[in-house]
Amino acid sequence: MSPAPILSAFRQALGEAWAGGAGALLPLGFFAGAAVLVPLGIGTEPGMLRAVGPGILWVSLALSSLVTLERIFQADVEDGALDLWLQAGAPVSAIAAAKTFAHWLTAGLPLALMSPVLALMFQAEAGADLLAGALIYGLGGLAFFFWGGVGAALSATVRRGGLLIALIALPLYVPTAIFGSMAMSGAAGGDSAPLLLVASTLFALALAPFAMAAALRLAAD
Amino acid sequence: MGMLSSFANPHRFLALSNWLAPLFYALGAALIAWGLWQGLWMVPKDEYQGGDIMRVMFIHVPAAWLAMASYSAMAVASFIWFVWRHELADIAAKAIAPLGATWTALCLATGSVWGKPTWGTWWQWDDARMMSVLFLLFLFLGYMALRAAMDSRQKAARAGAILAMVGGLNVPLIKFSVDMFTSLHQDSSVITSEGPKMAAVYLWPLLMSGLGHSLLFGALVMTLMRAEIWTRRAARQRARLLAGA
Amino acid sequence: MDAPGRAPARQIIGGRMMDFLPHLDKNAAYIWACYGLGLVLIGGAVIGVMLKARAAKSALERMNVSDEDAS
Repeated sequence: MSPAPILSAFRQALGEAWAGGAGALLPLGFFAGAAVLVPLGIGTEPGMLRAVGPGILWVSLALSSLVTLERIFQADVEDGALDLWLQAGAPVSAIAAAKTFAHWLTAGLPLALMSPVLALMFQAEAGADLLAGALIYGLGGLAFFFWGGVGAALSATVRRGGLLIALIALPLYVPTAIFGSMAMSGAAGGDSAPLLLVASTLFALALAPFAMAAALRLAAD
Repeated sequence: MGMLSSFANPHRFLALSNWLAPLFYALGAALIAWGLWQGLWMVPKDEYQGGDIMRVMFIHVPAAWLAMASYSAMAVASFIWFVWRHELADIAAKAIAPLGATWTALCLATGSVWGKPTWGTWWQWDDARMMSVLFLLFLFLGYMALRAAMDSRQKAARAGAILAMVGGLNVPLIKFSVDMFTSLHQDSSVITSEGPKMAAVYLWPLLMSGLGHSLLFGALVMTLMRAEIWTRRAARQRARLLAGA
Repeated sequence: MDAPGRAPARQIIGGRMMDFLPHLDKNAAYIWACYGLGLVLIGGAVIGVMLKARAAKSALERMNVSDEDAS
């Protein structure tokens, strides 16, 4: 099987996500906007913000992944691209994984890179921890996008499937959110948390493409 | 496979469930009643577990057991449908979902009421069991919402099966992560209902209540499956009439 | 719960009834709440399932009747 259809789907998804979302500006704006709303709601006491900051960034990351994923497969169902892949016998799981990865590159990775800035706004100390935090947000975001991709593929034929994707994906986000925030906080007994985060992200990368492929085959019928 | 295929025939299932479901209803109700009588009247209260409040155990623990068991059953039925396409397996998965969600909600509600006098709060974020059961409820709700959103029965069956299998594979990971999350926060005041050693005087009523709830659950699943078979037959009949007219 | 002032009234109104209820020293309200929730949720499930099964059965029977009418 030649990698051509996978690469072209990847390139196309990258282009769509980049052009359709005003580059990384739109996801970044949503992420920052969601995070910045919180101090307005709970107050600005620095100690409290420092305590809740990492958690708020996790929640914002989860929300932005859900928002950006809503239409990731719907266009392929509507314009017949999905039927073409299936007729050509292209590996749908690899195509789905490539598309999800492209969306993470344009909408997930920029958020991880921006996380140190937001962390500073939440009164975190400047230091190397912020870069480690960006890495952890990036890894966790990858798992979020792949589980969200399963929800998006399952509801690809559902009009206004956004809420459905959220309901499907949120329980699947739990391990990533827990391991991720434990790795961030460096809590006692949380030494293994970064490894567990890597393991749960790998689990998502291994399982989600096949679930997405099965769901897309169903959407094409 | 021999046994599975005998269950795969809707006609035989209707004949079987016609007498098995009433039997399960009767046995389940009798066992639940006996467990209630024992739990509320007969067994002595256990001061070690907070006094009389531990009598709630005889409904809370069966509900917890059914919450876990019903999701596993739904995932297994989904797998059977996905691999062998036995229509009855899909009918079973569809019937289990709302009932499993009911018992899961019962487990959460009774756990919350039990928590108030025990922990002093209606909701304990640090309790791993409460959190796991909450996510189980979300998995059930997502499954039902997805099925309801699909525009054909076949699509609902396929989408539901994929989601139930993905959820089933994730349940151990969710449980493990929640255990880890709460072990960091756990305070010593938490009283476990399933202590290491449980006196036989509590064990038997508890086991019988669990069996009674399981039988009642099984009977309700069978009744819902019968209803679904009749509904599908009526739909086929309608389609045939329309085609013939 | 067991205010001394209420004991006589209880004896007058339902002395017999009270003997049948289990004797709970404390947290009686919480215990009744749990079993009440069980009654409502499980009873609701039983009633809902029964109604659904009856509706499905009668719809199928109507279908078969109209089938015979048509043929």
